[in-house]
Amino acid sequence: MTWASALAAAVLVAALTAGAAPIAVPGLRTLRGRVLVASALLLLLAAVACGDLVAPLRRTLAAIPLLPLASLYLGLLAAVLLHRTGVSGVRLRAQGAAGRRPPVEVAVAIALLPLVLSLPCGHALGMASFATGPLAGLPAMESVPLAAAFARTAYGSCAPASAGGIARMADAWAEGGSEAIRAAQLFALLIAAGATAAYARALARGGEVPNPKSQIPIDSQLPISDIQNTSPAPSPALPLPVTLAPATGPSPAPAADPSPVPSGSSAAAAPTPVANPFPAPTGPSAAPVPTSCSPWVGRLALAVWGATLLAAAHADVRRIEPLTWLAVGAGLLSLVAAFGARVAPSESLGAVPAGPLIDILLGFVLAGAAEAAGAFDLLGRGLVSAATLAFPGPEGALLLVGLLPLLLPLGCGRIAAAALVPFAGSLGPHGAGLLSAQGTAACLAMLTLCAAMSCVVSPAGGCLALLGDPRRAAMRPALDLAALGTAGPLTAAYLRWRDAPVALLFAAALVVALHLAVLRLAFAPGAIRGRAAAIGVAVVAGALTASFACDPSLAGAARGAAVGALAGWTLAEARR
Amino acid sequence: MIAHLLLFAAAGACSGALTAHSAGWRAARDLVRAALAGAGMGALAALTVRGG
Repeated sequence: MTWASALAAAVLVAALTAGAAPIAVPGLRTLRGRVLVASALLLLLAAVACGDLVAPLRRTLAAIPLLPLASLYLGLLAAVLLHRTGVSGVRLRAQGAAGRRPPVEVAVAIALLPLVLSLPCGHALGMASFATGPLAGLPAMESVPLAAAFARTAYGSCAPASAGGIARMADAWAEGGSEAIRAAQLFALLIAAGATAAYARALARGGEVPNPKSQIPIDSQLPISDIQNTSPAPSPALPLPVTLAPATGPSPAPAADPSPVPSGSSAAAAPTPVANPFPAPTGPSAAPVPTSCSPWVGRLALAVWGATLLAAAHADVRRIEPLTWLAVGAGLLSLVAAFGARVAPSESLGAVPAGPLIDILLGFVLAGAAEAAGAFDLLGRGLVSAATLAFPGPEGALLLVGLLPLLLPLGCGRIAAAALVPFAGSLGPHGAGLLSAQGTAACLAMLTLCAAMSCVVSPAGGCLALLGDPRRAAMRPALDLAALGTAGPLTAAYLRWRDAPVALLFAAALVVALHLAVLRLAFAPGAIRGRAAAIGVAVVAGALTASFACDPSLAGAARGAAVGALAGWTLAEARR
Repeated sequence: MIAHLLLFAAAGACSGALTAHSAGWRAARDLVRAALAGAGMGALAALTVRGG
């Protein structure tokens, strides 16, 4: 089914990268429409090639991972319950009377918390946190880097997670299992958080975000407001005590921003307003948000959900699945909300928005249909064949396999990782023998980490697309750049020098210093931003990854840099 | 094990300081506190993996 696979790959690429292209058919203007049509086309291709419609359909449905779907649902439910119990009010009161910044230790701890929790899916923590706003309420210039760093760690920690992490898929192909790969990914994620914050700051300061010095009103950061794909107008200092927007009736929409979004910004990718994922409940069951309930109810709810996340992350997975812990925690949270804040369980369940769930499900159907039609098979085989050529060679193939999930981001990285891990493994001693055992481990680590990092920026069910957070204009390119620049070189450096900490720290410092140099050059006044930054970061990352993962040579580094430049350019063009 | 913890603590310190600096904390005292917090979180995160 070569022709069908080629067409399927083309359809998949077009569906995920045609966000900026003007499409004449009105029904295809929205991403949901494009994903639906692309999924139908892929299923049709698979059916024509196989001569059977049921088998591809069954394969597509079987590929849908239940963990992220259930995790997203429980995360959204927790967000609703935490909001109804007044957690946002507790947080803001703790910050003081003038919208003061939190202590710096708290900010850093929140940004790195997902790595300590190490959940098998970032949605349960990420959705609840973004929706209830532990990172909200700060001025935009401070909240964007913090929120971006938090998003990077939350939607990336599913790779090295001890219970059901994506890196576990590489167990069969990596010598000695995936323990070293998971440690390498954790090391890379720690530094990627700081890099993401730096990129977000540079993007916000460089004018990639409209009104970078404005303060985002609290109501626009809370999910109960109508979040538009525009930056809100500047507002005065945060009004306290906080008045939460009522759950009934129309909520205030942020004013449209008169300043145009630069063409290179990702905000231009979705011209239509983002649907409010937390619509205000209507009808007889609608009740106002209980802003007058005791602060202890909010604290208790926060403690219950925190304990739930800890249990889900570190419990014995052979006895109780993480999802079971999350479901039990959501049940306990419902009880706290029912008795403490007078929120009926039926009301909480009814307030969970269906839009994000539909979006992520459609993304899974698209990925499953692409897998059934052989798109990933064709891409993997093509990359393994390319490794035998003079260019891109094994170093270039390593980079292309590793970065492919980032170039084609899906709603969850698990499908792409499961489809591509065998091809990455076949580059090593157990397959074609083009890479050493260490190079194969680096390729597997990079692939599974990029897969985990890709879901947050995916237009098909990614966190930023689901939330419609106004800060995403700076967050999305920052998340892309940090993933592009750190996943490869830092995992490869860890796997090469994990027994020599001084050399490893030196290599990590080299990576950070080179990124800071690229940042300074690409975001200097008058410099070309966006595309130049992506290409510069990718060239540095490609050369370093090739040198760290394979035997260092000038030709190998040059091949890595060339493939990196290609990947950076592709990423910049695809995200326009 | 100690080297493993120290390694991740160092990475966390670097990340914490970079994050805080990017978020607008520029005083040296703030950056030191951020680095210490990052080191603590990095060491805690290191406990979730064995290091291979």
